[in-house]
Amino acid sequence: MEVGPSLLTRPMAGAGSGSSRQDRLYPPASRRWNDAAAPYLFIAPFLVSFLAFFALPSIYSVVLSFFRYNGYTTEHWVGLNNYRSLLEAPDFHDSVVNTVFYLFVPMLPMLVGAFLLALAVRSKMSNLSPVYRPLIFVPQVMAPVAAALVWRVMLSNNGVLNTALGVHVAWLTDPAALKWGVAMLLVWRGLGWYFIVFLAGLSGVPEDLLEAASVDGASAGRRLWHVIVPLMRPTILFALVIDTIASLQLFTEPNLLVGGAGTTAGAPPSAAPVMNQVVTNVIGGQFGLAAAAGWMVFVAIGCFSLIQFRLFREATQ
Amino acid sequence: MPANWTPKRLSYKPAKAWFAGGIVAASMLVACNSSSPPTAVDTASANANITALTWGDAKYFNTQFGFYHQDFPNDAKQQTLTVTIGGSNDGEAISKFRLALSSHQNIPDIMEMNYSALPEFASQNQLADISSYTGSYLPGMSNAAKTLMQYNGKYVAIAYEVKAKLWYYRKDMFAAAGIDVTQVKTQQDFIDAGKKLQAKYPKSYMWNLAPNPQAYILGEITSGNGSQVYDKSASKFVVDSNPGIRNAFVAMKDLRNSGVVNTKFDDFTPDWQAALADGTLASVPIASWFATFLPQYAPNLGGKWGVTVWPEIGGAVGGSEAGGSVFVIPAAAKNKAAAAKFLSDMFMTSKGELELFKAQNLVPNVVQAQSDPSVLNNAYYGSDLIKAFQAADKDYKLFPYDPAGIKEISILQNALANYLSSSAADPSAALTAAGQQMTAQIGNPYSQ
Repeated sequence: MEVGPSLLTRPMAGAGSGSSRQDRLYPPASRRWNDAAAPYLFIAPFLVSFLAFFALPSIYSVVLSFFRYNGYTTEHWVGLNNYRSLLEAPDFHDSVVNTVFYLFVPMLPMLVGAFLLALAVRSKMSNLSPVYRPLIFVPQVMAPVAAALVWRVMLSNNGVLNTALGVHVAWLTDPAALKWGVAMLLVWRGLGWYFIVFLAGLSGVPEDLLEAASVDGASAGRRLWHVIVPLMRPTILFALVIDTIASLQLFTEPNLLVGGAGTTAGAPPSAAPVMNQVVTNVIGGQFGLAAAAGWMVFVAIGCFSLIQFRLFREATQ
Repeated sequence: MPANWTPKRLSYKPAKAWFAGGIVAASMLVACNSSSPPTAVDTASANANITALTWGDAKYFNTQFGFYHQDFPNDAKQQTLTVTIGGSNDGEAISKFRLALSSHQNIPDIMEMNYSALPEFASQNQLADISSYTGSYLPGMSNAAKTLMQYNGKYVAIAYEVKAKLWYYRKDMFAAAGIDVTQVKTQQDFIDAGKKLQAKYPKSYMWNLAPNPQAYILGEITSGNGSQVYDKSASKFVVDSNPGIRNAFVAMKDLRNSGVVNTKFDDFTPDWQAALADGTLASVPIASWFATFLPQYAPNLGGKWGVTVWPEIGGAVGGSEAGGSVFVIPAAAKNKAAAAKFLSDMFMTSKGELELFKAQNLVPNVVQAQSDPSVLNNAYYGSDLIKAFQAADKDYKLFPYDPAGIKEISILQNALANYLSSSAADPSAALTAAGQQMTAQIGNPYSQ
């Protein structure tokens, strides 16, 4: 079978005629090689950077997780000890519990709140969506560091929240209250992002379908539950997966909010996320432990994402 | 589409070859890189571009280098300084330093670090012995500075901040409450003084210790009471059996339960800053660096805050903030002599240290500079600051850090937070867990 010239090697229309001239200029063997090589040339810039900055370091980090290594001396093989010692460490257990808290507790108010806000802004009742949209999104634009520092003031003993609620909760120091303060910050910051996501998803819901349901006598609640939510399922899945990944990789907010600002101290065990296991081990020169912790987070993200995809696929079917 | 154009299923063989080639090429690059020997050319002083790695802000380094040119023009002749910021905190800068050592690229001539990180690099012979450069300056240095400059008896660092333990207190409130700080010598005296204070000022406290207090507080106690994390001779972690660490844990819990210590806010929080200004905090046992911060938080209380040495808390007599901040010169640095000359002139002479005092209010480590009128008559503290600093110098001690010090502190600090937030009076469970974690995750700190 004769193989046609590639887009790169093909002569321009009218530039020549007959396969003999083509064969002379572009021998079949050369054409075959070019055909095979062309796509790889196109993706080479990505491929090289992907290999250099992601794939190879990732492979290296898997190898590293079986060694004890401080970065500039000799590596010591420790087998699975890094994984075992992490799994046995009380700090690691605490950080996993905290991370699960940061995953599930803010999720409901954030996603449901964002969805309802998107519905409200898109509804015919609202004439001020050009005003609400940027306002709701503003917290997302704010740098996490700035947001955490502002919330640090708001949650202080004499801060806005305690004064407004008339309570005396030590949000920044009481081990029982630390995570709740972080959860409030996460909801406040994430609401705007998921609001935009859901707003985009709602624009894909056909108006005529809603009108038809309305004509058929469906109430607002039934239209929401039986028309909008099923059509929004891919968007909801996207939001869930993104939120899960972000929550499992959480680092900045808890450490800045309840860690020692102005010092190098991170969040205490009762509020530290699992990413602290990676970062503190990097700072401590324990690269093997840091790599092992990183891969455990990666596996957790994979498992959670898989479960979410499966649940939604089953629900869709 | 031309007639002779047919879609073709691409072979994956070239892709495999390219991938393999990429890995080989990358491996060769890495191999070439790592096999390059460090180029340690000591170029004396003239025309040197000194490089420095620090964290936070370059302005202090640059200011000092400006003074270097101004005050020591012959030594600084034609020299330049390039400062690299390794991150927002010391941990990030240390990570950058490790990378530099690993790649043998961009090794700075000067590295700033906290003493807790120093044993890791000193034990691996990564730091230059600076005795030959700084020997002539040593007699003028304070006891604390000389202690801080050494590791295992070898001079490997130049002291920046010794972080001596100082106790700041409100002179006016203490006087009104009838408290004589010279009589507050033990932890019980400290608690009794707090009760006297609260009899006069019911809403005031002697200190603040949050459930997760700053790591430097634990360091301030453990550096003075014989604490030890790892016993090198026995090759094992002794964190669960060392009485010093146990005493420090118990002391902090006892103080939190005494009623004279505020347990609701931590250092460097808005509440803390307000408490220092409004009298809620009438005293703070902390370190010498606090002298720089207090006038910012309580600018109207100049002359009302006094300074003295710590009472014995947790069995600690003297100590430090577990070691201070130092400059080191890597063994593979290119401009060791020029870097050492700059550091010696600016941080080991009276003239240089007084410039530092004017710029940053840091108490000088050179004994002669401590008697300068500008130091003796501090605008905010009067003569209290330097007197207390000199008194603390006599009992200055370092925590016996080993090469895994950073990781050990992190584990120990978490154990303390768990203990303080639990109802247990005995810290055994927390310390045993910490010891097991250190054994599992660090192994032998001296064979990293």
